[in-house]
Formats: sequence, C-alpha cells, structure tokens
Amino acid sequence: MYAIKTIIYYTALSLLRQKITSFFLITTIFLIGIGTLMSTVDIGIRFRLFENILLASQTLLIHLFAWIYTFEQWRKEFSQNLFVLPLSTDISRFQYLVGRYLGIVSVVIILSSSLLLIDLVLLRVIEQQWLFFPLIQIFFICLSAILSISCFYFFVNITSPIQAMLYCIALWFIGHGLDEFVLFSQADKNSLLNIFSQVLYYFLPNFSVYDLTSAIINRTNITLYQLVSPIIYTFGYSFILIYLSCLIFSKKNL
Amino acid sequence: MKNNLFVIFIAGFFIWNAQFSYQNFENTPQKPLFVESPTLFKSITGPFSPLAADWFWLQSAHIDPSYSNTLKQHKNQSTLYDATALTTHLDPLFYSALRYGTTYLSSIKKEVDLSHQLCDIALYYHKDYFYPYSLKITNEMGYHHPYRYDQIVKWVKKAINETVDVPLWFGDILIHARKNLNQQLLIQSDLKWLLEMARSDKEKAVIKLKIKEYNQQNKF
Repeated sequence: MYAIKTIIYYTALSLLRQKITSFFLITTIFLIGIGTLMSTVDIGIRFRLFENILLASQTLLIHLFAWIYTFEQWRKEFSQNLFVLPLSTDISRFQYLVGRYLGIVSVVIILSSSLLLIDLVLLRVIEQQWLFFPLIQIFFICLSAILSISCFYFFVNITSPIQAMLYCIALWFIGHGLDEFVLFSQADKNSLLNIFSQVLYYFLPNFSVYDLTSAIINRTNITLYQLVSPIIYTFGYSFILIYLSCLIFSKKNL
Repeated sequence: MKNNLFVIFIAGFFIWNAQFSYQNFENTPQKPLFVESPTLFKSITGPFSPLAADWFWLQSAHIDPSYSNTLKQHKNQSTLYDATALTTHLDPLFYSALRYGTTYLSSIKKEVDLSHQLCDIALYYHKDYFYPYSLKITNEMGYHHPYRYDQIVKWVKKAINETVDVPLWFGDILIHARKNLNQQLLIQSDLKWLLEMARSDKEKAVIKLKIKEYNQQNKF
C-alpha cells in the first residue's frame, strides 16, 4: 500500500509541475472570461448561455488535459524506459500500474475540484445566489474523464500511446452518441441494426450517462437514478478495464 | 521577445477576425437552417449539443423571410419550423425555444399540426417530459377549430401514463374532452383510472370528491 501511495504522490507531483498545467490554467481563465462576457446575453432563459459555455468549455478542458497527461506519461515511460527503475525494486507490476493510474486520477480530481470552486464563486458573483446544481455536471465530467483514462490504460497495453489516445477520443465521441443511435435504431425493433445498437450500448463505454448539461441548464428534474448510476458505472467499468490492463501488463515483455 | 510579439500578433488577428465575422453575421440575412439528419448531427456534437442548440437558436433570429417560400414549395415546411426543430433536436429540454416555435407556428402561421410535430421531437428524446404535452393541448385548444377532442384524450392519457409532474387539472381536460365527444359512459371509468394513477393522498381525496360529485349529478 505504501508503494502505491508513493507512486501516486510522485506521479501527481510530476504532472502538476509540467508546463502544460500552466497552459491549462491560462486556457481555463480565458474560457471563463468568455463565459462571463456572455452572461449578459439572455436567450429566453437567463444565464443559460453563460452556464452552457462554462460547462461545455470545462468538459473539453478536463478531457483534453486528462488525455494529454496520460499520453505524456506513457510516452515518457516508453521512450525513456522509466519502468526499469521502480520495477527493479520489490514493487510488483500490479502495484506500479495501479499507482500510476491513481496518480493521474488524483490529478484530474484536483483540477476538477479547483474548477468546481472557481465555478461556485463565479456563479455566486454573476447569478447572485449560491448555486450547487450546475456543479453536479463538473463532478460528472470528472467521472467521465476517469473512465476515459481507464480506457487509455487498457489500450496503451495493447498498442502505442498515440494510437491509444486516438482510440480514446474516438470512443468518447462514439460513447456520447450511443443514446441517439439506440433511439434511431429502435424504429424497427426486430432489425439487425437494433440488435447491433443494443450490443454497442452495453459493450462500449457509454459516456452519455454523464451528460446532464441539458437538464441542468434548463433546471428540469434529475432523478436519483441519473445521479447514482454514473458513479457506479464509472467504478464498475474502470475496475474491469484496469484489471484487464494489469493482467496484460503483468505478462508484457518490457 | 520575438515569440511574445508573435503571440500578440496572432491573438490580435483572431480578435479582429472574430469582430469582423460578428459584424458580418449581424448585417447579412442567414440562409435557412436545415440539417439533413438532425439525429446524426446531435450524436456528432455529443456533449456540446446544448451549446450548438444555443448557436442555432441565436442564428434563427437572422433568417431571411424571403427564403421561406422557396423552402415551403420543396419541403412543405416553414423555415421557422426547420430552425426550431433543429434547436429542439439538439436540446429537447430547451423549453423557451419550444414554446416560441410552437406558439408562433400555431398562432401566426396557423399551422397547428406542425407545432404538434415540434412537440413530438422533444417527446422522442424525453418521453417523460410533461411540457410538450401541455403545449400540444394549449395550442390545439387555442388555435385549432374545431378542437380534435379524440387527440386531446390520447395526449392527456399518454401524459398521465408516462410523465411524472402532471398537475391535477390535466384530468379535468380528459373529462371535458369525453363530455364533448359524447362518451358519457367512459367518464366513470376514466375517473377510476385517474384515482389509480393519483400520486399522493391529497390528489386521491380530490379525485374521490370529483367521482362523488359526478355520481350525484348523474344519479348513479
């Protein structure tokens, strides 16, 4: 356990010290500035555009930087053979991989939490009330990014880091359109397309479960199922992917 | 120093370009909004579809009215329908766009069926969304003569069956429609069904009172 903790700590620290983190912070401030400028525009629902820009930009930022951090980490591991030193001690491959994974997850959680706090203050200043409802989406974006990192860890053990990143981005886009694809294919319930869509729906990571932006910005009711299911889904799916990654990594010829 | 100057130059170019594009957008009438497959477009935009809905919603304010006739000849649909349909596809819970689109279509354009189609788009994505049912009935009773009570009965039953936040007065519409359809015998069974579907004790008490009143009036 101590070994895993140490790996998490050093992974998180090394990632936060990277130049890309400063770039992340500058981009975040820039996008928040655009959102704030748009807060005066009323398009039928007041502050809808502001909240929409805020959530959409943060969805993009958190995912983008989760992918970049994971890619950078694995690119360095492969190019500089960083596995060698820790694995020459009594740390097992399982501990190493899990430690690395949790290190990146903790970085994503730190970034999402800082955005959560910034948004809370910003919403208080602009909308003149404490609003916790829009922050649910930031939490779900964080969960979505964690699942995306798990997918990356699975692919990186099979292919190269650059291919793993491309697969991850593709899966993220496909995963977001799965709901619409199932709806579209349900027109004919006995068709092959419907069966195919059902298989994809339950087999591929379904990122649309994290998307509550529409319900949040329009202030419609959110059910308990919508709130709880993404949390269980993330932990369940990530556990399976990381377990499979550990199995592959333990037999990999480094 | 050179790098900083380069960054400032690039940033300046983008700001100038954005301002120029905005002025252009403000001054020129837009082409009609029509996307061949809105469902596919929604799945491509993914988590950014509500933002895309906002963009198209803002754009729909700049549609050139002269396009509407041409499009109507070919598609048998109005430009406003296309614009609001696309917005509704991208964000079905965007009630302001839905309300504006349906009310405009049924009141100004006198196309009540098109406004119902718009509500159906929202219901396609969210079957448990009450608002489109409410709009359908309001527009039907406000702008279509004679009222199609059989349709109203169908919508009210569906709304009570599938949505969560249905107000109690929705049941009154059902009884009113039955009376106008001369289906007196079905009122009794409808009231019993409403009692079964009641979501709280308070609602049950009110419906029981209505059943009692109805029985007294009709001497059952």
